[in-house]
Amino acid sequence: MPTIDYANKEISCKIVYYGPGLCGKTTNLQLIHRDVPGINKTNLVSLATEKDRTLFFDFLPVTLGEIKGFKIRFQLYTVPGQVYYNATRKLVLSGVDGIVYVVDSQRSKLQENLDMMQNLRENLAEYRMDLATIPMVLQYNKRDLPGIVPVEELQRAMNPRGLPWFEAVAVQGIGVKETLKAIATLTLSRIGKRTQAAPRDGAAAGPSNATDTGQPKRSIFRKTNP
Amino acid sequence: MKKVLQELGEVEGIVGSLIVDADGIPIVECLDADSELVAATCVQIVNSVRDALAKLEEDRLVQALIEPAEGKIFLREIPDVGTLVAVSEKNVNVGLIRLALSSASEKIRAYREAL
Amino acid sequence: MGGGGVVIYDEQLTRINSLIGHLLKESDAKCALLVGKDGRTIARQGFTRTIDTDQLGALVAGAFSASKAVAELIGEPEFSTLFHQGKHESIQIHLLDPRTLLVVTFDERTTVGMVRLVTKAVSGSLREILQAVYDNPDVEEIGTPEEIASTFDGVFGDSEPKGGSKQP
Repeated sequence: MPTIDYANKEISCKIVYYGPGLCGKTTNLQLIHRDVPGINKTNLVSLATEKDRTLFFDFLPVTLGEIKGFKIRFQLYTVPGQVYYNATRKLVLSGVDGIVYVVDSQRSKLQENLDMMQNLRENLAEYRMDLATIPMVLQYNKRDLPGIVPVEELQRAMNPRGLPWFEAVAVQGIGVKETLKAIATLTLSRIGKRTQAAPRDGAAAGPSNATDTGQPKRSIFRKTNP
Repeated sequence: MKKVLQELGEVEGIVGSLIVDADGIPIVECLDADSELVAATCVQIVNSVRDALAKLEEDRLVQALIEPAEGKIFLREIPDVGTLVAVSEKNVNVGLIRLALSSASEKIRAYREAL
Repeated sequence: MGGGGVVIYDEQLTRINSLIGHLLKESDAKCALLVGKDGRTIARQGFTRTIDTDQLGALVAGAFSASKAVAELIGEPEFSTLFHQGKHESIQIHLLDPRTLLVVTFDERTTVGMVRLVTKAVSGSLREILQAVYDNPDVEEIGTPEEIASTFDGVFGDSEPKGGSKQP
């Protein structure tokens, strides 16, 4: 669940851009950093190798307006896409509120897209989160390239849940904002709607005892302290 | 804590002092020497003495006095904090220094409890 | 719902801030943060104006998680404290409870021993408050998806996704 801070009137959500290597996750963050107007700009942190492959993660905090007096902050992360960096992908997923799955539309990458989706399912399961219920949108990227898979086929292969999806050419900024807006909306609209057990710890171990405290839900906009 | 050590430095014969935690890391120091070395070494000594006392089924260590040829090293245990180390000249009034150390360690203990 | 979200009330944050403020004062450290293991900064005190605490939180949480893998290699479940020493500035990352890190930056005016001592002294009280924070009840919905989406219209400019990208 997103973090809700009554003292500073802030709601913060952690969004992770997931997908196979070189699909355009970092490009999404770079374009958001460059193009989205009105965001409170800070630096984009990239921990990359010499060849600009993401080594650890990219991180971009953005503030996207206010809802009923609460500042809405998003922490955007990417994961490294290379198969052998799974440990890093797993740790970046800790406490995730919403996922943007970036699909490389090239036909040669179809299997990699499917494999990484399976990898996402497994990594979420380790935090006792379910791919079938976590807020997620799909971005079919690189629509400008030749030899891409038609959207209908991608939909069948990648999107059995019928999630919101967007065509994108991230390097040109096409589809980047729409994707962010969709995942932001989806994630925030989940506040207060519990769908599954949340683990106490970020780590995998431990009993699942975190969800129901037996206390009544309180309105986010009521000021009394407990 | 620094003030306590400074006051201790005013006792006749005391050259310097420091407080070191159980892992040998200096917490505060008032010593014109390689304090990291002194801290690490003193904790090693304290640990050996403690082990020895345990073998003798003795109570916990309160204070130890080491007397090299050129001076003296006083080691005073402060529960929940670590060890107070005081270095003195060779010819000093040991009783007086013991009293001063006892009072200093009480002050530090009180400070720790107030944290 | 997902992972490490937290609901935190004014009074709880005030108490946390006062405790970590006390920690700074007593240890002569520069800045202290409470950071979730998922990288979210929960509270910050001290000289934070020149530091991007969001970035610091995210990177520190990443470094801590990475160190967990290192710990496992040498037969520890995880390290309870990490300490990075620089020429002038240093940082201590202390695992307060299974989901929270206490991060303290400091310089030559104090020692790692002093920071450790005071950290230990305030850890118990911080853990108690955090436990209460993590037990806070869930909140109600903040709005319909339409209301939320319309809030973002101003930020993103246009509201309608472009060609062929609507939900089927």
